[in-house]
Amino acid sequence: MPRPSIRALARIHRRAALLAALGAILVLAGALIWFRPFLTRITPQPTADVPTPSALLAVTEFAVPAHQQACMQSVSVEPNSSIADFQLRPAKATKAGGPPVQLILTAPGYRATVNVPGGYPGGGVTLPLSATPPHPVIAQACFLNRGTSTVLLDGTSEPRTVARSTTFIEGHTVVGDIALTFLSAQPSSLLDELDHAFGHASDLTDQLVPVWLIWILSVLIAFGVPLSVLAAFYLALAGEDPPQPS
Amino acid sequence: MARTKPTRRTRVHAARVRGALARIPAPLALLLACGALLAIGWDLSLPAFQGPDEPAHFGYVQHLAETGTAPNAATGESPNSTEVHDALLWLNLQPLTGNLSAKPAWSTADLKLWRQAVAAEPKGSRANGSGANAIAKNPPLYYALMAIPYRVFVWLPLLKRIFILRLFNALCYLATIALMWLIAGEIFGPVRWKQTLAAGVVALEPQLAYMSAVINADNLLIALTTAFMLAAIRLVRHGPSMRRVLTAAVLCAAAFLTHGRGLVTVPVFAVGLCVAWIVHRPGRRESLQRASAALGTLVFAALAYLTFGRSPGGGGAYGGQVSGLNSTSSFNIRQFLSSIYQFYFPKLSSLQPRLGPEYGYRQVFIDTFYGTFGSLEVVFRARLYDTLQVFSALGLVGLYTACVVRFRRLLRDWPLVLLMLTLLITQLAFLHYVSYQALLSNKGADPLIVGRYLLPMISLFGLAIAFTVGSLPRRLGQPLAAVILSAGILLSLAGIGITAARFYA
Repeated sequence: MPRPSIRALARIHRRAALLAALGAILVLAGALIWFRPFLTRITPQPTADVPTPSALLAVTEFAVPAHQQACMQSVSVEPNSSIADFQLRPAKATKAGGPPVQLILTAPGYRATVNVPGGYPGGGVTLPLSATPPHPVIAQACFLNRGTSTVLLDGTSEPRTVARSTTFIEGHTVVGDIALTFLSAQPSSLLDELDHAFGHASDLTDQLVPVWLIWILSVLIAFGVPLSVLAAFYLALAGEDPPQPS
Repeated sequence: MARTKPTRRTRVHAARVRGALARIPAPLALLLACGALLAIGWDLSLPAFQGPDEPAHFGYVQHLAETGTAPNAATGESPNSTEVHDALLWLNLQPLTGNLSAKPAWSTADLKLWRQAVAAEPKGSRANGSGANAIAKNPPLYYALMAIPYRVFVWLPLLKRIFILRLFNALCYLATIALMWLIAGEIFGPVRWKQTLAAGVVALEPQLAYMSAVINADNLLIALTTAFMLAAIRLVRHGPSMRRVLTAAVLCAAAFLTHGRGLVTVPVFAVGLCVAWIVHRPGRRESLQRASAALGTLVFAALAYLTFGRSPGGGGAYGGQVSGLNSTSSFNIRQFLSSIYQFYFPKLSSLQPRLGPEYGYRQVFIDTFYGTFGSLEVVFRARLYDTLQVFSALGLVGLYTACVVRFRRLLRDWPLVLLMLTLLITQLAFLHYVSYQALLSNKGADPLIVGRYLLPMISLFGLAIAFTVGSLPRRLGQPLAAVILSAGILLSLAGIGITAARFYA
């Protein structure tokens, strides 16, 4: 087979480079259009921690009578856990609304409260904690009914959604958990939260992959995947035989 | 300690390895590097036990590695060992599964709490996940192979061990990419850009890359089915030599020793043998020898599995989807055909409504094939699936047109076309049948099949795209290949991103 001329080879390389550049431009444009808003969209109250998630299918209502409390153990609270989010309603719908409820978080060296004033019709509560811990702590969370009527707290008793916390009402163990989420008061985007997120990912590998390595790997993946594919495509095209003249 | 000098043998071996690595074409090496990066990305973005049925699959590996026996499919103390149970409990990994309102217990305080629980575990806490484990009805090959790295890294704490095991698991994904490259080479010849396109779309298929980070027998099944297709293509193209017949037979046997869905390779192998015989006409003696070798390999593997490899706990030889094959539910051929029709097309007024939920090709061929992550709760935006559906339909029209235009070439290559069609039809018929049987037996609750069950046919996906795009004039085909690869890059990175955000932000 005759060897292709230098000019033909140069043409092939130019075409290969053009096509790889086309791919790079498309990836860049796609990343700007698709990824940028995803990464930079501000979440007003990002999730800080979810000690006990809500039910997947069937909500369980935990009734706490007047002057009684429901407590959950092993509730983790993070330094950015500044808002508590849970659901409650009066057991009987009255004009006076639901009774006042206080959420008390206690751990060695840490105590915080959230006060829900009485008179609510029922639904979601998103209120600030009186204090945040300086470092992550494992706390006890108690919902204290300070009113004169029973309050219902939403949670789960589905085996697949019950978390590690043990729940007590009036000192007796009950099956399931009251759903409780902590939010951060600092509005932030996913990009702002990357270091936090990488910290969580590292913890979930039992710190086998440290945060700094996750940063390096993320950059490698974000740039290495497009570069390796487009470089493969370039080399494949550049190694082509020139088209035979018809 | 004095360093020992490498012997001549080790030097020769090292030179051979270096030579083999140097022979890997650069585009393939780069695609494998991309696959390795994606596998690591998925491993990091998916917390332990969040893949489909991952605790059960890991439980099988662990019990086999710890005790030398498979867990029981029907009875036992607990499906999870104490070690796994503690991780699921203390790190909130159990309520996390499939529940978008949940997050893992991700703080250092949580990690400390879990480590305290691990320190308090009694002896034998790794070995007591004896069952009942529904996955235990799977054949043992994948679990036996994964038991090797498990034993090597048994000294590591659970989360670290799972991270490492998933990396071993990803070797199946990398093998699938390399095998796709070789298959494309067999079909298209050494046309590098078509090989790169075919292997590239496989590497960048988000669901396949995602599965590489899940401890699940599907990974080995996908790699083995792809390897089997390569062996079958070589068998048909180059003739039924004893070596080729045995290679295909061993891979076919390995596929059905990995998962019940691997049984679909048996009819494909039978067709491959017949076609190879028709095309190459070996002598009567050779034919008999090779047919006996093929049959003997399959029978030996099946007998070995039935005798030694089956999980205690009774029941059929296979679980999961394959149990539908011997279901006792009343099979109605009209209803079955109607259910297949309504899977793909809107219901005709004369047809009975399809059994079960609204579930059709969109859910299987688009949503859960291109990418549904976690335990099916992490999804792209609906608009993206709509776009993928439109482009997949356009791709099918393109494939049809390419087939019509290049009909003579396809006719000339009828043995290969027949082989591929057999895999496609057998796999689809199998999935439709078990889905129908499942709907009959669970009264329409769960159609059972999802897009990842199509992944053993991923080689057909890569070939279809490369054939369609390669049929266009070079001036159009190559830019279109660049567009397809770019879209694949974006999809793959987006999949990792939304999964990491779901679990860690």
